[in-house]
Amino acid sequence: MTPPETIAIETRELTRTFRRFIAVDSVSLQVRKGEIFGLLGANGAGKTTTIRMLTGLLKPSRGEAWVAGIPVHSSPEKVKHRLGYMSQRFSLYEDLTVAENLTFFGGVYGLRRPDLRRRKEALLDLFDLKDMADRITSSLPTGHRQRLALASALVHEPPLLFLDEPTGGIDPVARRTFWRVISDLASAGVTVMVTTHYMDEAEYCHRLGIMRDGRIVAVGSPDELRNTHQVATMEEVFLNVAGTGEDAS
Amino acid sequence: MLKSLRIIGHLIRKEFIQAFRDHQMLGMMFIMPVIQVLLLGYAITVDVRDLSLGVMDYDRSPESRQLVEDFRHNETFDLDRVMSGPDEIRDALDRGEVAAVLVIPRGFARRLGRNESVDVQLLLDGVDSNASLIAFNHARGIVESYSLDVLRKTLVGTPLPDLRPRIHVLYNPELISRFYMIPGVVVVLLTMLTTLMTGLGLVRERETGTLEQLSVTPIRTVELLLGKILPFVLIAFFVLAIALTVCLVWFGVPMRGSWTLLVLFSLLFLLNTLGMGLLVSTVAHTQQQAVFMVWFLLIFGILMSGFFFPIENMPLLMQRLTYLNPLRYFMAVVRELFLKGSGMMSFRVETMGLMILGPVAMALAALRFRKRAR
Repeated sequence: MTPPETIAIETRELTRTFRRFIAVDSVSLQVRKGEIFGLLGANGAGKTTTIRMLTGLLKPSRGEAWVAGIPVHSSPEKVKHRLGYMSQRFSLYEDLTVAENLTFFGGVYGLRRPDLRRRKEALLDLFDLKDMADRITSSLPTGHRQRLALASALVHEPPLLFLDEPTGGIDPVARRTFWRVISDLASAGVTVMVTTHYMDEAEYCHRLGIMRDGRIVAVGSPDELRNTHQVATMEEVFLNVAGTGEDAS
Repeated sequence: MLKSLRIIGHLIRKEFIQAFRDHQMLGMMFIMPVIQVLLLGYAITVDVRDLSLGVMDYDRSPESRQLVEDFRHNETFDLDRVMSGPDEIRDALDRGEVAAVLVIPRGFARRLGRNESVDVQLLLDGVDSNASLIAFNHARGIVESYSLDVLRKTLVGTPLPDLRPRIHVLYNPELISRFYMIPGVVVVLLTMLTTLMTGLGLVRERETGTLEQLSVTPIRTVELLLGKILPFVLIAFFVLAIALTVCLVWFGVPMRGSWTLLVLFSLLFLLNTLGMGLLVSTVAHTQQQAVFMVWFLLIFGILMSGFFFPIENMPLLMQRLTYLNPLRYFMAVVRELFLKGSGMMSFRVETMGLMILGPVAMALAALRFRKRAR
């Protein structure tokens, strides 16, 4: 059954196994339109696998996943023009310039020339990359690369954005700028699902799902989570529900 | 449809930007074929000539000198050394200083004069079996015609039956093996370049993660594969043009067939090598693995194409296996087009082979690729 229109992402008993290993175990959750939903968890908790299933990169072993009203578990291709995806690797063509990367990804999404030009201008502006437009990507500092990767994921103006550990390796100032952009996008109605293991970043999310061993062990806004566990910080919430939390910083 | 073309256009543009940005790679792509055809054109020849010959003449008569002269005038042999005894013969052969030694016994002239039979000995270094076989045949010819002359002189006045072969060599009358080998070098070059480049293409994108990034876009498998292949078709034709220019202008290899046919068959052949390259890139996880796999395939492909060794000389099982080798067909087509100028009708088997193998490789690659994306 198709979820109501206010729900951008819904999963029902979503499960993925690799041989004997259960990477994601019966995950059911709902993300509302325009919400920033964070998946929190230690390395190997199943965050990335969940995102890969929602973006149609990986077939679920069991369960359903609805993204923008499209059943991703049965027709993963249909959802692709509606979502943007950025992985922790900032996958860009290193030997192309900043502008060429944007042109290419826009082109691959089927944008026509006038739209392409308009989006390129807008994104170079938004991410403050104008002066770097003709720089070869491999020569950019990590922070700029990350901005370009995000810009490339947004070139087709998707209503949904999936970010898999988007702030790995970038400095705190760049991270704050990054989150400002994400908040603006969400205010404009874009639904954002993001994985992270930075506790301070959890605060930027409207709601969080904490994962452990492939399962969602707690869901709620940061405040709700702190209140139910009667602790002062997200870090404590995390340590309480996610076990060791060794990998979480 | 139009959208697909637009998307493929963007992919092609990207490949070209990447290819032309890497100056080193670009240089290799265009200079390599020239150097390879030039050098290999000279190096790869199966003609046996100027084999160094040693002579041990125990007789030292006008007759024995005549036989030595006959050897001297044959292009196969190059009289390098006059020997003085059995030890020297052995040493020279052992050290590889001579490849053949002609030994004329004492009493050669005297016994011929008395109409007795005489043996002359030819010692051959058989390490290179092919060259010694050719030397052997030439030596036998020289000695036989010498003995025929002796016979004629003895029987002056008597009418003799005369059986002489009249041999017409067609298509390559001077039997210049270069004319046969150089088109082959071009084929090998084209195969290497295209298989390797496509083989690496997708794997590189998998390594850098851009393939995953492409997988979340609505791009279709066909579009992606076409976008990966078409740039290399263009580059391949460019390289082919360079290599053929060297081949025609520098080496003067005759082109007797139709250029249209050559272009058509090249396209058909590219379908095969690019398909193979793609298939490799769907199997390999790293660029290293891809290079290894391509090399493995190429060694078989080249050695079992008839490039060096005629396919008819192989054991039957091997001969049958070569039907799975697209190089075999293209090698035959190119050589016959160049030297014989054969028409379409003589290439029915080749056309079939290439038309089956290419699409099969492509289809397998597309199938495997689809699975990987999920």
